[in-house]
Amino acid sequence: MRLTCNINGSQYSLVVNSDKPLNQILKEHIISFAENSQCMGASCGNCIVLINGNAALSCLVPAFKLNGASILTFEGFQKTRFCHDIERAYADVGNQPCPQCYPSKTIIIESILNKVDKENQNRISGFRGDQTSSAANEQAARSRSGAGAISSEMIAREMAMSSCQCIEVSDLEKIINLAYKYRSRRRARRS
Amino acid sequence: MPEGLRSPTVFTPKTVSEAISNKLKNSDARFWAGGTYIMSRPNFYPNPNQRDIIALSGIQDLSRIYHADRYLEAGAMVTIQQLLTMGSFIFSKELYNAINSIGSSVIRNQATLGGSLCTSDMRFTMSCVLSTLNAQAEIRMVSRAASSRWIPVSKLYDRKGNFLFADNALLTKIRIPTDATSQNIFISRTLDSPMLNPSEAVLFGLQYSIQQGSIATPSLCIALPSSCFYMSQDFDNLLSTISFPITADKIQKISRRLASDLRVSVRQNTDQLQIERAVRLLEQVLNEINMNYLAG
Repeated sequence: MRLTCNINGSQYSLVVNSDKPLNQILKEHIISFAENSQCMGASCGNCIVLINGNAALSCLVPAFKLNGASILTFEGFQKTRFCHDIERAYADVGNQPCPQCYPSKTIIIESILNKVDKENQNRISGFRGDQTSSAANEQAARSRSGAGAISSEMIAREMAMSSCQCIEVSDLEKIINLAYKYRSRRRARRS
Repeated sequence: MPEGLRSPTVFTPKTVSEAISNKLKNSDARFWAGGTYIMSRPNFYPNPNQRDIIALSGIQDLSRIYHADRYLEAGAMVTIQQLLTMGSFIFSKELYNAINSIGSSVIRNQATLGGSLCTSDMRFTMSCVLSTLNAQAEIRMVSRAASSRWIPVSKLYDRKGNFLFADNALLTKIRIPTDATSQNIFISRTLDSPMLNPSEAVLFGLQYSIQQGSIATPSLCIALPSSCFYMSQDFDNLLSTISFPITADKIQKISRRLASDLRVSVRQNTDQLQIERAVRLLEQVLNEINMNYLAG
């Protein structure tokens, strides 16, 4: 089948088997992706990518589901400002994942941040009602709704996706909370 | 494209009838829901004997969720995460936690309700949980006449855990009871990951109520993911004879019965340790129920 998709901002038109897993497609076309995914289907979690903004294990996504999709591997994600927030949080906490799982853990953290962000936005919009959206109102709504709370239980569950145990959950919790803070600050500055 | 490897034809029906028609014309093709289980098999790709695919993701009817007073009706293509999001307002805490324990959100976003119930030879958490709750499934038979019927989820499997309608039916909807006025108590336990460690994992579900100092209307389901799906009316009757306080002798008698039942039900080469874990799990749950009852 002919597959047309966007990988890390570049448009690709490929002829592939319809059931070919995305990780194999990426291995053949993104050279640096080859070292990420080595489990051959044993759920190591290292092949995680963002498909249309949602985290997914590329070994579980067949080619026929990818027509028109926008795929971001860690190499592409590294260039975004969202990745810089997470890298800044790594530096502030003084701990970071080992080189082998660095890409996958960073993308899982990004997916947790997206999820929490979405939940909080929903909660805040519920509290805000018909008030105008000033920064002060947003701050007040945030504190009333308990937004920004990320539990270590949730982090442990999400991180179970990556089999490498190189970093403590307590450190991950600090990293995620810091990265979320940086992201919220940027958003507040913009608004 | 590797030489000699055929690219499977992918059918993308828009309605259930169209999917059935595709299946009738291509009997070897298989229905494809989320694909998480199929693609995680070690021999999935490259495989020279790959079957054609009927992708169900384009069928809108299968992605709907409907909530009535006494049940929640979800299409087979509803993802576990969607069910969880919807269920956070409806399900009991125990049921919510049981569903939330399935993988991480990355997996739950992709895995579908229908897919997790219809894997041919492996049982996962949803099968056990929904069978215990006496959920109903609508299956559409693969035949020229448009026939469908509702059956309990527990009747989808044989004792060894094989899916009975693998190639002759399409699961379209699942109806999960959510009656808030019900006195039923639901308990779910999962030991180990059924996906990553099927030969050691144990799935356990028990629903019961307490009436006049004894256990009433119990419904027990135990699944050993790759070897057994155990649900027995006889055993439920045995559980309903339990009155409080439950003595150690009674628990021992019940667990011995379960062990002997499981030994008969399991596939060959099943690890005895897995059976032992299931039995101990039942003992633990009965002790907990006893403790809770005595604590008032």
